Amino acid sequence: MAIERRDGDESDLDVAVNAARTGAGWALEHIYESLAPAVAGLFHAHGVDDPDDLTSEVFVGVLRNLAWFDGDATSFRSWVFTIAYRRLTDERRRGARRPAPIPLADLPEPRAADDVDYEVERSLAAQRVRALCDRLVPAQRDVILLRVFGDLTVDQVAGVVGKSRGAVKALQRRGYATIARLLGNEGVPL
Amino acid sequence: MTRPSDRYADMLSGTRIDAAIDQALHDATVPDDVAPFAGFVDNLRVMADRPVPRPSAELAALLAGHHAVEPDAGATVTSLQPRRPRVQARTALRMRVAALGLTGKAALVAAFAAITVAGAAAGILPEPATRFVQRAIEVVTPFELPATGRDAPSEDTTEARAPGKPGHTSPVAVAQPTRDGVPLPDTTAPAGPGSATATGDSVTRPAEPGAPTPRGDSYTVAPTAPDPSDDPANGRSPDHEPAAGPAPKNGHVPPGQAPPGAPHPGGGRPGDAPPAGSDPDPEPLSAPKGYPPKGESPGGPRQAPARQGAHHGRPRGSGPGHDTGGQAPPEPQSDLPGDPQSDAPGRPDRQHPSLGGEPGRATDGWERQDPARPEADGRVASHRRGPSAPGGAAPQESDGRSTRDTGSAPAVDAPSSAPPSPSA
Repeated sequence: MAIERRDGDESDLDVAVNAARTGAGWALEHIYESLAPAVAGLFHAHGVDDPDDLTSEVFVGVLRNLAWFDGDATSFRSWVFTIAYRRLTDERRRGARRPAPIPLADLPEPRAADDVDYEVERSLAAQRVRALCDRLVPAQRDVILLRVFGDLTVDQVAGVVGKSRGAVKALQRRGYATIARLLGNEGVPL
Repeated sequence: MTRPSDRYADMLSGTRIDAAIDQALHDATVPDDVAPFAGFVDNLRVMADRPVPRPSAELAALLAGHHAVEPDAGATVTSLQPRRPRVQARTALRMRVAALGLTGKAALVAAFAAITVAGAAAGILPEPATRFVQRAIEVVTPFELPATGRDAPSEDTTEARAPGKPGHTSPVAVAQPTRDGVPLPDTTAPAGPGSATATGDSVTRPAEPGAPTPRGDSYTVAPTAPDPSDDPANGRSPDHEPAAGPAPKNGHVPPGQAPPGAPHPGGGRPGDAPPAGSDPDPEPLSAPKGYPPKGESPGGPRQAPARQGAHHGRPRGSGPGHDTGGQAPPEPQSDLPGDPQSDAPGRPDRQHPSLGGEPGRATDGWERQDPARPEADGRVASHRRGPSAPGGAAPQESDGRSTRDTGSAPAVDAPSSAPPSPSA
């Protein structure tokens, strides 16, 4: 099912990218609506404090440099996640230098959900997944999350993280082994 | 110890893991051993199944097609970024200057002053800055800078003539090199129509007994000394007369003459023509505009007097190509008969009697003291009174001068009887 959905997204994204390079406003919105949730999910899985703001920064860079992009939808997706990965790296460095505590009064109020059960289950699942990701080595986490959220191939992930194809495969296997061990042997529920 | 078979088994498992990961990522049917990982991937995708995040203001502007950044917090941070290098550059510059030693600071100040003076001399600086630098130099140093063309006032516009017209003086010839007290001939000013001998100009002419004062202006009597250049026997062309005053050869100063270096008083002025008919200079010279040639050609006799300095007198005139650089534009000259300002030919009343029959010598202007410029007159007076006769004219000099001028007086009427200039 995901493959069919992906093909449809890829075809629409291909058209949108070509149109956005000519300055079509609808194409820009379509690109943002197609890729922004995945980018925000990537940031959320990495534990970024404000994933939406960082996502906006990523797409600001994307839209400003869209005129210099040349390629199809797959390449465009890889390019977007390359920018997201670099923004994530910058955010990590900023966070390591100066962790900024956010007062509770400044936190946005959670939006009311229509399906409370679904939202609660989704929130709990997100917490568990983040707990699992925190147990991974950062390099393994980067590779697995890029493959999941970005729908990128091993070669594309290798290009994003700047490593060889074999290194990415090794990181992927080790990450998989760690997750399997945590889920099976240590009884971490999903 | 790891055996090769163990490695082979690991490689196989790695291949299987790669396949399992691909199956889990592509939502394909996965084996049971990969099911937990597939569940993990599904939960990850749930995290991505979220509403579209609200774009920031900057991104919203870009999505709307506006390339301008709207002012918000993010834009403020962006706008602050370019200021940092400027402040840092200023701070770094101050620190570098402060780190310089005393010699370095002195060299820096000297370089700045040199650049300022050079800029003022070249006229690059604005006019107020140029004046300021000029005054500063004149106060600090004994040098007097010539007034630039821009700030040179034209008190008497009747004296200002267009380049190429008679009566212009080249400032180049003001300061002439001297050789043993005798100024070298002016080689920079070619003798052309109306070209002036850029020699000393006493501005005020010595009064002649009974000489008419043009336009009622007063004359200042200057000491008169026999000028060897005026002596026909001298054989020297007045064009080659010194600028600062007559200097007899061999340094001998005859009685009644000013010592070497004294300014040309009165009729002994350089550039004055010798008495009519006694000009040994075969070089054709032209008369100023409006004055008939003395002899045969309109480019005849002598030149108009040259001024001493650029700001010691008014522009007298120059030959072609000898613009004083910045004189006032030529005033429209009236050619109406009876107009004292007129340069029309056939007006002998414009010649001073002391010219000794020198046609082409415009008397008004360099003989007239301009009350509107006392400082200029004061300088003129200082030049007028030479060291030999301070404060007035020596009697014997005046007598000698008067005698000589009287002898050449009949030539005053020569221009009136001469045929009018072809240009007229």
